[in-house]
Amino acid sequence: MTNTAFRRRGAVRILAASVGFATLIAVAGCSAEREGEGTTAAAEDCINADEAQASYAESWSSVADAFGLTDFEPVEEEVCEVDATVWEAEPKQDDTYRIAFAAQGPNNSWGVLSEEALEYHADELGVDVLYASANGDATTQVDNIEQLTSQDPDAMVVVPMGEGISGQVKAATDAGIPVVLCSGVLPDSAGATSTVTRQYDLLGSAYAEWIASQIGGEGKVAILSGLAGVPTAEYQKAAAEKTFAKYPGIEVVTTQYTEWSPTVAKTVAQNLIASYPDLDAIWSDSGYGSVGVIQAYQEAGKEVPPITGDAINDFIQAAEGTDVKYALSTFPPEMSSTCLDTAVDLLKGEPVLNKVYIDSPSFTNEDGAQYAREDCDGGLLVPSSAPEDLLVSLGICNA
Amino acid sequence: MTATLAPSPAPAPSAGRTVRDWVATAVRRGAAVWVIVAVLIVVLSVMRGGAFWSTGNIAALLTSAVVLGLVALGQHTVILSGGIDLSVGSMVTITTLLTAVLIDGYPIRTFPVILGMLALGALLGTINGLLVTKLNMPPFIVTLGMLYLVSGAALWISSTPAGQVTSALTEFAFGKLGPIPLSFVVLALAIAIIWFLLNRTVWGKQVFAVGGDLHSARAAGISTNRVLIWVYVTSGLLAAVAGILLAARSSIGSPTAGDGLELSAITVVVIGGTSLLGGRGTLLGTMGGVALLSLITNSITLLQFPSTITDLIRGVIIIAAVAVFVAKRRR
Repeated sequence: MTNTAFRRRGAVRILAASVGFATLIAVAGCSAEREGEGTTAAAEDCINADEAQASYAESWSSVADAFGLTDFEPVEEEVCEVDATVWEAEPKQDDTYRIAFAAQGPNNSWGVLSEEALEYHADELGVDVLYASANGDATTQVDNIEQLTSQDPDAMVVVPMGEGISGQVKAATDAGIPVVLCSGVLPDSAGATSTVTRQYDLLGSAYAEWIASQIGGEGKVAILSGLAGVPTAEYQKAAAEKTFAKYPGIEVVTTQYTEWSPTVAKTVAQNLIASYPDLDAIWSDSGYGSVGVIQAYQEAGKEVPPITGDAINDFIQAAEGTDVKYALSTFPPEMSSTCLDTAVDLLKGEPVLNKVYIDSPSFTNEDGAQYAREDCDGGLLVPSSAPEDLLVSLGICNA
Repeated sequence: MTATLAPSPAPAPSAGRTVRDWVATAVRRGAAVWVIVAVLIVVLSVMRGGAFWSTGNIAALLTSAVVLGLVALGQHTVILSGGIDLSVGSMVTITTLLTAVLIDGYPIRTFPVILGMLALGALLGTINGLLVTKLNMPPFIVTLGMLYLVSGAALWISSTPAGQVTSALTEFAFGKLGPIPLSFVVLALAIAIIWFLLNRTVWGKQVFAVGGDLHSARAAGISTNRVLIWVYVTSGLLAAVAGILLAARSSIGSPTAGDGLELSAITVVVIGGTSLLGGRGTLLGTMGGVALLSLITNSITLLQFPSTITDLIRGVIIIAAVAVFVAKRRR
């Protein structure tokens, strides 16, 4: 054997031994138990539990009343008050609070109004805003939150783009920055101080229950969700599927994605008409999608089956003067101003709930027409609680 | 008497030509993009010096470059060889998702799952390479198909964020070596390895040769298929490393984690002066592209530009950089 070949074989042996040794060390250092199991911390006292819980139940009962649902119970959720003394603090710089805002970004009309409503309210409250846009992407938002944390703001408001930001939210709270989640949820392990949102479970299951009541608990239903893989769409869809599963007479014949676009939804609906001419109802999570559905059915000269969605101005106007039965609610972008209030209240030591569930208007075709705004853009979620001068300045409504 | 004329001196190069030559050389060597990076750093230092140079911001800046940097290293190698890899983003997605779903909080699974993800990245790269070489299919089509296939598989595995990585992985993702994030150390190691492979090994020279002229390389006796397959394997492996680090950083897997990364990776490679036709380019340039893109994102937040013009600013800087450098390079 030559010296070179001998040296090469020796090197291979050393490498193999090293890899084996490293594997052994790695495996030996690992536990076979799942992390987080068997180490549950003692439950903390829930402050002011009854009052907090009542505010949560109210957001469900108002939708039940609006949709005429008799048997609509809230999903189990523990709502408590945050210990106000923990986060109370003077401004870290000068005499004005600096609130970091990890926003979705202006990639659609919802995102624009969410940001503008927060900025508008920040001016009213006299606080500074440190802004970062995720452009709808969770990976970008991971970077945004790390960068905003490094600027050491007094508090942070985050519109979560996905659960992938949980680690960064935890790091921010660990660094002493109270974090308010806005218009979305994260697992408890993220350690957010408070969450301000409209519940996905509430919307998804309320629409499904309304459909079940319309078709008498029996019939063929299509589910039109927004965007595959996006939590906002998937969680609502999951809640709807869970509700429909309670009714043995209801068959979900197809599940499609409309990308929250009237154009895509119209194509999807045209296929639905051809494939399922005897469809009894359509569960849709979006008013944009429902506009496309109405157009497709009207062009085909067919009656539009009962349909759901969020209350966009375009949909209400398209359904006006027709016999379309619908149930609508909203996921209002202007809830961002409540998120800002919550962050500032935390810093001022005011009482704040750990979960603030927004109660926004819900209605059916019986009283929907009154909410149409001909002076406003078709994409506006109505009725909007955003300040009228803000809507005008953004060009969403006419002066 | 005959008059003799002194030989006339060579015409002195004009100042404009010298500058053009200098720029052309800088572009060729991948240094030009670093000039823009330096200018941007100076601007940020003047406008927001304290905030920009804070330890936290520098760590955030370096960390934000890691995933894109790893994917760009693979894309750089593929583009050098005359190909393109549109599937890198979806590979990052599936490895991120599977890392979290398969580990699911069990420390004992960490090491085998990491090995498995590296193997998966290499396997997907091998399939790309085999389809490009053995079936002679265009890389654009092969990797576009792989993008859809792998993205679809990720959504099929879970349409919502799922799984849980172990605290050891999360601690690694948030850990630092002095002021340097540990994940950035991984990127630095990867850069060193790829630089060595491309510039100090026979395979590296063959990658340049294959990218420059495939037929000549084949005529010169280079096993072009083997070279190309390894190029795609390298890209797949680097995407897998990026996916594992992304899962560690996010602590959970997402079925959309790597969306759009392929375009960002191609962008930084082109900004860095690498020819999309293959055979020409430097790692220095590509890493300059990564630094530029990360700095742009960082500066948009630091300087608090209005939300509606952030994409506009990003687009203008990218087009300006490519227009200046690619045009100069052509001369």
